Amino acid sequence: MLDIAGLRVAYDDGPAIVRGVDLRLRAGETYGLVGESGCGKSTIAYAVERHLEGGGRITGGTIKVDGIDVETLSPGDLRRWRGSVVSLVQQNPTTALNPSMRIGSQLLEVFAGRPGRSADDRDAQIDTVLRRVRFQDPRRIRASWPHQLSGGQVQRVTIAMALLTRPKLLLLDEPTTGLDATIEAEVATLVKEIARDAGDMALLYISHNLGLIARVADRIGVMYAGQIVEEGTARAVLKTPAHPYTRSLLASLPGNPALRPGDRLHTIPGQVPRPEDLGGGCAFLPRCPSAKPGLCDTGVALTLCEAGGEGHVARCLRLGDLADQAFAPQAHSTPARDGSPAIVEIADLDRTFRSRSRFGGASETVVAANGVSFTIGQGEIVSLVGESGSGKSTIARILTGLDTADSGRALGFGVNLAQLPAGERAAALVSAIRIIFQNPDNTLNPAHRIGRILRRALKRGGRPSGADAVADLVRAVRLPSDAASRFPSDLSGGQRQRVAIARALAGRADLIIADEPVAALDVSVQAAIIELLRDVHAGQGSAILFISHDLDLVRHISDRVVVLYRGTVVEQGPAAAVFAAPHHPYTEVLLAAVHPPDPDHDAPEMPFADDSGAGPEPGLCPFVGRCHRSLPVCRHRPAPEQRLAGQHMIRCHIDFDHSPQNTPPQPRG
Amino acid sequence: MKRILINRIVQFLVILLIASFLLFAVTEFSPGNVAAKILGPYALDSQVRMLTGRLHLDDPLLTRYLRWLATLTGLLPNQLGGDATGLGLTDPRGAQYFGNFGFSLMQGRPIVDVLADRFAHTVTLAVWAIGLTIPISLALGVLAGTTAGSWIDRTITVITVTLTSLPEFVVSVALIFVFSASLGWLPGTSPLAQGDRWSEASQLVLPVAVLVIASSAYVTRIVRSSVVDTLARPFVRTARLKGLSPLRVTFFHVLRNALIAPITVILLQINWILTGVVVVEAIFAYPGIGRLMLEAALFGDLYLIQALTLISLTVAIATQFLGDLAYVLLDPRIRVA
Amino acid sequence: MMTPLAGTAKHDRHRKRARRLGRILFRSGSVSVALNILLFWAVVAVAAPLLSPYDPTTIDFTASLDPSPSAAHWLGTDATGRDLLSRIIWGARTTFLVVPLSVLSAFAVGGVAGMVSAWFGGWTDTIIGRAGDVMLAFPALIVYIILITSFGPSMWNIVLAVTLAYAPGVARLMRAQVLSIKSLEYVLAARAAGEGPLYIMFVEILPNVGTPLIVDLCLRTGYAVILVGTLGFLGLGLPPPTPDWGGMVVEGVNLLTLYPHISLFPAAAVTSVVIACNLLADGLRGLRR
Repeated sequence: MLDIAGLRVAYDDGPAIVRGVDLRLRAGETYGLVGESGCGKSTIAYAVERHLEGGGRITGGTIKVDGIDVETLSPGDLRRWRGSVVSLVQQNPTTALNPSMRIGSQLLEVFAGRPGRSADDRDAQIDTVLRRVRFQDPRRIRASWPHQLSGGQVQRVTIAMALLTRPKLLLLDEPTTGLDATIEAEVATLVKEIARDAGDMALLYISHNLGLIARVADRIGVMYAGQIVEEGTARAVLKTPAHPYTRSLLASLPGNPALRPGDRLHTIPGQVPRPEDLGGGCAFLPRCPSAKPGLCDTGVALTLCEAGGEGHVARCLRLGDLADQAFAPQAHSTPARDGSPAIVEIADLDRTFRSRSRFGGASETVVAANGVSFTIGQGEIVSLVGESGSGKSTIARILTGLDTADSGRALGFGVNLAQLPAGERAAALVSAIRIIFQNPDNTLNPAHRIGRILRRALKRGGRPSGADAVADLVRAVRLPSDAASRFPSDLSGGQRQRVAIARALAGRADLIIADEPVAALDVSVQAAIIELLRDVHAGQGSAILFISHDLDLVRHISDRVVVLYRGTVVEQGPAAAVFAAPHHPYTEVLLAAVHPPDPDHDAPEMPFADDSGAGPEPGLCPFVGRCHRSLPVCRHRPAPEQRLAGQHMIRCHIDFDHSPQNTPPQPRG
Repeated sequence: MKRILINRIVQFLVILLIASFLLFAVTEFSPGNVAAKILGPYALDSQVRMLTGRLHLDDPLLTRYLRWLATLTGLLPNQLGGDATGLGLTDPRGAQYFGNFGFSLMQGRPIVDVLADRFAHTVTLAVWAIGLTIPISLALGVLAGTTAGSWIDRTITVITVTLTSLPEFVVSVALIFVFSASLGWLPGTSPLAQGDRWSEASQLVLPVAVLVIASSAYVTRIVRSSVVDTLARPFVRTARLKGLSPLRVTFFHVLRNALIAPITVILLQINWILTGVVVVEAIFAYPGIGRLMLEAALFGDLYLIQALTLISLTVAIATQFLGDLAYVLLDPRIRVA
Repeated sequence: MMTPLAGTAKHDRHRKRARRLGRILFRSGSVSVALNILLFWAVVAVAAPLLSPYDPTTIDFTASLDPSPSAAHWLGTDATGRDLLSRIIWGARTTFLVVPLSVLSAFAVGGVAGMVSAWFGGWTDTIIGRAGDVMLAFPALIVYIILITSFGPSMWNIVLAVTLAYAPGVARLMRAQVLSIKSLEYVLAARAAGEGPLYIMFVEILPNVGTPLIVDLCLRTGYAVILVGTLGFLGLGLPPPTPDWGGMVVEGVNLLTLYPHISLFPAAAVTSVVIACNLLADGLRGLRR
């Protein structure tokens, strides 16, 4: 169906972004193309659509779809061909629809210039497809404006739009990136269903998330720096990876099944190279543990080698030597702590935001914290888990004094942190609690050199701030020694997060709040940052409040876990207890959305969260509208806190002692 | 929606009230000053004192402002009474009517009469200017935006950048130099002298041209950059990848979104044309309210200045209000909250 | 596990960026033309007494019979026989005194108001915002007309009128910039580190509001040159005999047929400064990645 041979794409006069890609898709097949940001995977999709922007052009190779060379299509043919033969689902759903056109008109428009269908037929087709992507009420969706739908709903609309003309090839470019994990799981489920039902439609699913790819793909291609370095059936690539990059990457994921609790993640040194830095040899060479000089730095290194049956191939000459070399996980030096004295005790924390629209519309209320109570013990790693909007970051902001609570306490360091803005905190207290933010692009002031940023942090922490002290810090977070004289824009994302960690180290923080510290980083550098954070934790005995949506990661590093939903703690306890049954129904949904990079993993399917509207009445369980196990009583009385064995708390009406959860729920409707 | 509308209208009135108060406060800054200005430089101190008393100029500023407001809305008679004895001025409408701004000191006539002569002329000028500016700048802006980077775009950009850099008085002088002084095709002044149809129309050409050149260059640039920004948004890519024709993409997807932002600018441009009117009317000796304002300023005709600036403030605030409203009406994200 | 800074390439990129800045500022045709024009006029304004061949107010009666350019008067004289070159040179002084003073004052007032408005939010923001809305209703020319009606023409009234008319726009821009930066992580980090509002405003935020404000500064300088010229042209500017480009243009309007140079030379002077400002704004806009 799709036949790409020797494709090279470059932007303007720059170096090639896609450097000789061969890719074949058979009808009815789902191909997962996985790679980190900037490796050229999206560029391939747009090259197939012949829609390269920003000066991009194909500098070599051919693309054939259904036997037709894409390059030879006339503008008119190209237009008819787009949409009817090939459809593409874009990455960011919220910007992919026209904000000033109703959903229905945008769907109907697909038929414009395609004669041969009656109006009724079109309407029926639209309704069918909308039902296909699991909208209960197609008419309501068609009458909506894009801004009235949630991100997940909009992405389902764009998928419906792509399916409307029954294309032969469906390209999905990171269709779930930026969406919550549970929504991600929904979209992945949907894609899988569509692939199953669509007969001979071929799907190209592009993602940086190996777990998602494992869930949907029949075959997988792993891209690194503009080349496919490994290709094979999903099972072969994930179970018996051949290329050193794939092997290191799989070993570095916290979902790696070989990991035991407390093990170190495998860390890949360095970072993804930029296209202009690439030489003639293997692009992974500088980061490869088994690279051989004189071999891997020459063009020969890129030879495609047989790695197993069923077309499993990898671009590495050393496959034979590597076959039995395994990445044995190392145990971490510090054992999990238990029952250490509390450094911060949070009790009944409330925070509500009222937002008024600029245009004088109705005000909205967002409950970010509702009676939140939990404790952070000395030297403990406590994880806060929940989707976006659950109030995780609000709690972090209150603890650091960027915000204050409406009511409630956060007792620690001899004061009530909940009512004490940062500006009124004593210097010692300020340096005792430090925060690391998610977005490495904005975490450092672009106008200041790294040295200046660290000096200021040392000074505020009441410590000597000479060049030696700065150099010590730089060394402690394993940054190159000349980093102090650089500007943030000279550092990679991972390196900037290291500076942020150094800033926390400068004050010898007792509590480090890490707000999604690796969520915005490339997959291959995440493990290194996590392990650095754990080393700091072990070396300084700092407690860490770790905020994340990545349950695999949370399971891997936490001592205790707190699950938040719309500002309410629905479940908390020691990590082992929270990750073992029984679960709060919400935790259950979150766990079902976890997808380790394992084609055999069978996640229970959860009902789609169609309504993203207002929560229930105050006081009641906030999850009741989405809950697949809700009881009649949930809509009348607030859910009680149930204390189970081993400090495990679940806020729910379900009687966990008598109704063990062993059957996965059936989807409703 | 209704709530937004009411909110906006209240805002409009409040801003108008505050602005008019500022205007009144600045023009009547010191009490003695006003009477002296009315009576002119040769007035005796006793006359100034007497007029100050009759006009109650010793009252607190706020009282005087409220009285002024009530007078001009026709709720109270003006201080001097209908026949305005003492100054030898009479107002056939009496002392109490809507729009009672008092007397023009310069012309010795009620201000409504002075305005009535001039107002229509300026409206003619402005309507022509706006009516030509909008289609010209939309067409050029969309053309340049959709062909961004091409020679068409570069040509339009160079021309518009140059034209926005030219002050109106320079454009006027240049046009007069070429079309009037050198070629002799068009009259260099536009006193709207009576004549045959062509000679009357020809007097409008240069003043309108100056206003259109200066404002359409600016609006064209705004429209162009809005079109370029919209073209880069992902939903345009979606539309193209749906296989829609270029025309359909341009009209239904690009323009529908790209023209929301410039509407505010276009409305503000109306406001700006009113400033430009002062310059153009002065140069071409055009009998409109712009030139009247200039004459009043040079003469120090206090009440006339108050009346003219209040009118232009009302127009300015009203266009701001309309721009805001257009934005609310056109963007479904705000309209359908 | 050292992570090298990908040494040379990174360095190259840094150098490349510096070079790009250099190219835009000094080599890119339009910006260097703009800077040269502004520099030229600035030197002329400062060195006016040294450069001007005649006193700008001295009347040469013989020249007034034929004001055309001649060996004695390179650019000719005006209708009353005053040397045009000298008057243009001294006129530069007027423009280059009044305009920067007015624009800087507008940016100081607007910048501080916008920063304070964005930083403190709440009632402060509402009050400053509403005050700005009211002020935006007053075009600069109208403000000036109101001011001279009460206080008579003077340079300080021009400065005041420009400040009142431009400050709200500057405040809006500054407010939007500060608001977008205020929520960035590095500012949050500084707040969490207990830094005071002044440190954050001036050390963390101000260096990063940069380009859009500088672009706006150039554009508004251009507008102010137009405004000052227009005031002179309308006879509302500085009282004669102070040479003033706008006023010089109007003096020649009635002689356009016979002696167009009287109007056209000063008109060209005004235009060159405005074009330079706009070109500079356009070139600097390119700096925003």
